Amino acid sequence: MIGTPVAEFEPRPPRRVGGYRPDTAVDGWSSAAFTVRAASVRGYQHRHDGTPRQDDFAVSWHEGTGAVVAAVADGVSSVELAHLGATLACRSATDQLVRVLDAGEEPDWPDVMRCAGWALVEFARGQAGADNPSARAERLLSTTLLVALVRPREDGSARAQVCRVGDSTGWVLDGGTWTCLTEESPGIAEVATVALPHLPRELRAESVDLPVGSVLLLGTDGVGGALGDGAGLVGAAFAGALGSPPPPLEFARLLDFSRETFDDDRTMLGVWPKGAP
Amino acid sequence: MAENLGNVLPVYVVADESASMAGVVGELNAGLAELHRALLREPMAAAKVRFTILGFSDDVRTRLSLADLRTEATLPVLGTRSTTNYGAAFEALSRQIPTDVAALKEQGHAVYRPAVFFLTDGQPTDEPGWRAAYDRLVDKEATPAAPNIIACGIGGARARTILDVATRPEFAFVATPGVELGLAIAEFSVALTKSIVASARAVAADKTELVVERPNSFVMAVDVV
Repeated sequence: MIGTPVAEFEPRPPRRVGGYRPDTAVDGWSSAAFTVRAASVRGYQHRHDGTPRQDDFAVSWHEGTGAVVAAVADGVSSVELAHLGATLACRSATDQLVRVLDAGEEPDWPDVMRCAGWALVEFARGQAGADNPSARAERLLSTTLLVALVRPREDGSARAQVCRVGDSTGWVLDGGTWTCLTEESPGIAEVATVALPHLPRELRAESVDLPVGSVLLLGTDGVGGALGDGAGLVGAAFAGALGSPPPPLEFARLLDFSRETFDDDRTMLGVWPKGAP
Repeated sequence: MAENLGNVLPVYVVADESASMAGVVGELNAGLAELHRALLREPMAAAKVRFTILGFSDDVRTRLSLADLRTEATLPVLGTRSTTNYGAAFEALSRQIPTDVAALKEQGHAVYRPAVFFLTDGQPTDEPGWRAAYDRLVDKEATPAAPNIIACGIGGARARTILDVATRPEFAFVATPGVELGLAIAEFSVALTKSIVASARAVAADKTELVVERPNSFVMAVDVV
């Protein structure tokens, strides 16, 4: 609970559209170089009206390089299979990055995003509709996607590349200080976001150093909207809890805070460099 | 910087209190009460709405200002007074909306484009003078927080005027007698606030491309269902 909580109620079951969809997904593990925590929780509005969680994440370890590849996605809620779009995009992008690393290559980020977009198109082929598969993917499966590749350095720190389509965001939290990897424009808030299978014509990855003791956090807009610039109560609560990796279920519990007006699905994924052994 | 308190949608119910409304003002008040009840059934949406009720005739009276309906026991009651001065209503909105948006931002809210529900029998007594005030209100250059206006005709509403007031043709409604106006407004408000959470696809075709060809490196290996 942060500030004024959301009205209390028991979540409704999600409408069964396109298969089983759990309310909450949690993951966590450590490799030699990194500790990873990830959670995706259904928003209070969706819990109230019985909509499936439309956010998702995927995260993998690449044995050969010790890298972590991670993705978070927010299915566009105006489309029917938004939740499947989010899952497909995350898993396709992380699979693709693992293949790139297997081949000993550097990622071509527009290509990674294009492959994730194409996964939606391929899936859309199997869905009913008279429109062409790309249009069908847009109509049924649109999703934002943020992908990160985090590679260890010998001194125990790390370097991350982050590429995104749409309004998910990355942050570095270091010594209680938040640094957002993307700048949003204020003014009258708009609802629309760019989403796969559309790609921005200009697409590139941001690079950022992760010193030992810092954490890279990736979040969908349900997290970004609540965190803002990190100066408020949510930023303080997260900074207090994420200086070092909490147990996975604690991480999920932190993410699932109750605060009125913040009722979107939330997905957050943290990658902590473990430092020199 | 103020605490980040999340998104809010300012909603303005602007109700015609002219003498010609005498026959329907009871229905209007019942509608507001129903609106209140309907919104309380949607606590997530209600938390994000700030409600203002303005009654207009020859002047404009603020009946409720930026209220959180979850904490209001009852809504104010509208009456009937004198002429139907649309210009006064639109001028009041032009003054009020920028002030309200600034105040909400000052509190730490992100503010969505305001929604105005304009309820009238569609018979302005200041034709065509009101149109200049209207144009200023909906011009995003002159009024950056220019509202979406949903025009609801009640009683013997003139459809042409209702269409002229609505900022989009699909925002023009003419309520037939017996239709629950308040419920209609509540449903519309809830849909609007849900659409805040509902990320939509940005229509920016000049800045994006649709993936229409299979990338050479593509491997389909995912099975989600």
